[in-house]
Amino acid sequence: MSMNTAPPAMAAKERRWITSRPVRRFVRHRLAIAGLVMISAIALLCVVGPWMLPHGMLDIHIRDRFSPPGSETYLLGTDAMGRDLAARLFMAGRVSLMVGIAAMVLSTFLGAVIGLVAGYFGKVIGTVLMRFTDAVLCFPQIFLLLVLAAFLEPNALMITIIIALTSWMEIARIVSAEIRSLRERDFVTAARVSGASHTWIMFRELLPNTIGPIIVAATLTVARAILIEAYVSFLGYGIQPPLPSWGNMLNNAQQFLDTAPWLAIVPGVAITLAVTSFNFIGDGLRDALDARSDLQ
Amino acid sequence: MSRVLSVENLGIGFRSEGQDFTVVRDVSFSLEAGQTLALVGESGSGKSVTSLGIMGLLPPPPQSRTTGRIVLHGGDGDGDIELLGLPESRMRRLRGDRIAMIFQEPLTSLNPVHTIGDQIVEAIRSHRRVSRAKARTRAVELLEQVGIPDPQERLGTYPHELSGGMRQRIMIAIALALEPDILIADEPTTALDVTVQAQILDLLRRLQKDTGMAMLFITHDFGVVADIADRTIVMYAGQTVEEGRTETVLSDPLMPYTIGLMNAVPRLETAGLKLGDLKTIEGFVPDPAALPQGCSFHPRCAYMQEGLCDTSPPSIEDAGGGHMVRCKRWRQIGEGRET
Repeated sequence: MSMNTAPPAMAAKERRWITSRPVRRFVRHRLAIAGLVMISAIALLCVVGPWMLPHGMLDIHIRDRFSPPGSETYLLGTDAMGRDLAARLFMAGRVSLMVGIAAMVLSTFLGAVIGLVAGYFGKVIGTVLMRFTDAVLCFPQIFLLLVLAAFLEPNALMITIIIALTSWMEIARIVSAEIRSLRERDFVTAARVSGASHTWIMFRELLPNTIGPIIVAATLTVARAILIEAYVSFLGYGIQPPLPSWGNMLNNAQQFLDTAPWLAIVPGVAITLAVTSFNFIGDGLRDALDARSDLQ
Repeated sequence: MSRVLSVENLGIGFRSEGQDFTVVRDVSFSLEAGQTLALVGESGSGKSVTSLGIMGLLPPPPQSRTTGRIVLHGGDGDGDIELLGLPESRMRRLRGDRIAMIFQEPLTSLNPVHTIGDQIVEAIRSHRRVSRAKARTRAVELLEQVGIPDPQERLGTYPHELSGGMRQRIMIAIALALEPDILIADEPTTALDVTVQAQILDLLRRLQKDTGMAMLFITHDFGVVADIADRTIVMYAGQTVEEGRTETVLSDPLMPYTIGLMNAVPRLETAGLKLGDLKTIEGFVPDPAALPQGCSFHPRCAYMQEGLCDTSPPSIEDAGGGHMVRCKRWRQIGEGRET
């Protein structure tokens, strides 16, 4: 038996994921790497930062209120009650990042499952699910959020759930569109021929093929969820003081905008950095994972 | 020799935009263990639909309807199973296990995101309760069987790292993983180079000898038919138009359509001649929604006789020794050849 196809497969054996094409393309994407470094730094600061600082986030130092950044032991200054802004920023970062990431996980899961089922079955089920998706999409997200927040107890978990419930639609549409083209491919027929069930085909054969677009959309969803959390908390319906979040720190800052602008600038910069970083990572991933070039 | 599958009076129709049309009409055949049956015909003659019907993969009614009988004969005492109307859950257990199938497009029939090892292992484990390690051992065995060098290493590769011929070998390995009684091969070599084609046919023949499975081989290539099939059915417009032992059908075709198809095969003798000498059958397969009156082949037939062929449809007749022909003029055609 003469088979001359050995060389390419031999080379493939040596290949590791770290040197694979998507990873190489991602590493070459400068902004994405900058975003990744930035987010890692922010996350690290939020995790270890509060332990490195001399003051706790709830310690009130009335005599030191409105200290500007860089004064004495207050790295980023203090707020109206003399609480250390740096300590609050890092703790708020924990909350905001956690809410953002948890909302992303939840909405990605929800969107992926709905899109998968809608795209795979098509016909009545698909139409009903996608029209439902469109209907939710037509709702102004912010008002929906505010209405829900007004009825539900506004804590971190609730906010996460509310954000997730209002941001799964994009992923559902992306996944459903991908699945609709994938389900016509021969490997799906091949799977059916070998006796695979619908569930198996959906979750084992089809879903892994859409992982690229899902990752990209999920990354961008984190950025949006952080923004939404900040927005809702800023309006006072989100995370409630004394637990800090980047959004409610901004809320506290607005009445001192002319006398103590750093109160707004510090969390504002944090939000901007985190959101742009996630967006850069998302862009980088989109270029790296370009579904069409890698599917074959 | 035991019979593993009987198809009796199979009819398959579709409904589209409120219109019904029949694409397979009254097709009957049977598969014997260790034997190969070829279904031959142009695109649109209903051969692939027939295979999908056997697998129970046609869209559910009312989009399609299937009539007749498809019986899977039990090998080891589990009796005969009527496949038509079998609940999906039971049909699913038979697919891949008792009846396996390979396709024309090995390039796209493997899932691009799973390693071939995983795909073979999962094919085994979806039907048998065996450990992952055991399934892996079996996968290595299978890859060896289908002639893939270094099977152990190949398990970790992805489909895109392999050539078309290699991928078709993998597909065959997956199809054979559970030692099916029947392998349906839907144009398995059409997308491959001629040399690879020959290798794959060799492989299928060898595997059939080893396992004793029956093969239903769907093709439009008479070269392939001559190479692999014991019996041949020629299909046209959803009907069997000629059937018999492959040697008989190929050396003594009686249905004008078969004759036309055989003439259309490029031969070495014609290779030196100019392009116009490559014979074709004029026209196209008729639209199943608007079949011509009489014999469905008569508008394209070189032997057409007015008043005979275009009035009532011919029935299938035995021309001797199980050589079945659906043509009113097969006697004249046969005689014409003798002289």
